[in-house]
Amino acid sequence: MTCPTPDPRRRTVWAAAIAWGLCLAFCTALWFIRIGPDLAVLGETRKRVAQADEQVRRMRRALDRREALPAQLARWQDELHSITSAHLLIPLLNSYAMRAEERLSSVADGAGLRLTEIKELYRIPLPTADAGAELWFDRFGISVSGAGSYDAIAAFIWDVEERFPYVTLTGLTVAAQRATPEVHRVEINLEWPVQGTRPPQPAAPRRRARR
Amino acid sequence: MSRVIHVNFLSKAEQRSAAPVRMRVIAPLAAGFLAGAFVVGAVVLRGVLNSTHAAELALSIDEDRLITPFEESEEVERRAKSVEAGLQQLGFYRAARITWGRTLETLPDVIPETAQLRELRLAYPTLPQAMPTTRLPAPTNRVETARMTFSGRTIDSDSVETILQALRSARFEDRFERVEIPPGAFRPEDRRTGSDGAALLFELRAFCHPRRFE
Repeated sequence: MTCPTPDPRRRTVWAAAIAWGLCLAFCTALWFIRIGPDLAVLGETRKRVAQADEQVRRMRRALDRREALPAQLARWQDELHSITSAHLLIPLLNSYAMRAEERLSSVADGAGLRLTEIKELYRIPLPTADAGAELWFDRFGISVSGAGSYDAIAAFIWDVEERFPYVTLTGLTVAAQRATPEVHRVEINLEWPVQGTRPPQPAAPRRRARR
Repeated sequence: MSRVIHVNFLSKAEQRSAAPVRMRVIAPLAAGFLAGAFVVGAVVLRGVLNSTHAAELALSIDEDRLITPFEESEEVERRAKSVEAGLQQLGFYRAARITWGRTLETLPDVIPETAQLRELRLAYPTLPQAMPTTRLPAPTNRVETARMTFSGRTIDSDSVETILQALRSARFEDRFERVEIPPGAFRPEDRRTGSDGAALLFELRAFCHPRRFE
């Protein structure tokens, strides 16, 4: 009696099939367990890295750009302070008119103009008010009444414009008087910049109601 | 006559393939290589992932290091913009300033002896003439134009023409854009004021260069 020997060709095919089957199973498992998730994580991480890299570059660029800014800011603050402290009209005892009188009386005396009344006229925001700014300035109108010769009036206005480079003449009435031909009655409107607050927004235009 | 006869005495179990590459060896070997390639790929991928994580960590440390000076610089920039805007507003205001001292001092030189100015008026019609009760919004118009009116009396209408030409001359061209005699500007002086009626009242109107807040 002889033992039946297996067919060697069939054994080879079986061995190959088993090897490939194991290989495919291993590769599939590796893909789903490790490679696939790693690829997904890598994609997300690369996106985050790109964003962080851009952010860091942006911050570095901004820091480089702003390197000289503190010195510039200090210069601008000095300049602004020198203008606001010297040229803005600051109220005296809560009155702009009193401050204007204090500033103008010596000029008027020098020019030979007699001041009779100083009153506040108007206060309006500058047309260039910047909504994004934190500093606003208003235009403050002061009306100065007085009497003097035409030369005294002209000299007063000249001196005011020389001494106060931010003061603007916005109105003038010189009227001759019959009784005193050499002395005229004068009303001078001067405009000063003053510290303001955020101006109210202009009202939106009304829409016409449809009929 | 001879005949060659091939006789195969090997049993079927003893027969081998004549091919130099044996399938029984190569098939598991190829499968092993494939599996090995996958393992190597997974290892390399993990390495790349780790280095990317390391780069992310380094960037995060960089960002943390930069965030404070960056925020400080943002604050400095915000303040600088605000201060610059303030300076710009004052700069526009100053640029819009028109001085009148020299013009007023020169004015008597152009008035002939036969004419007498009785009133001189300069006005910006757009400016309020009384303190507003509420705070007004900023005007949207950045240009304001003043008008100067000269009123007087003369015994000779030629003298008014002389004043008109003088005001239109180069001496005043930096202040007045246009000077005109408005309609009805000449009229005889009212006798009730004690006049002999020979004098004429006149009026001249000068449109000044605009004040531009720019």
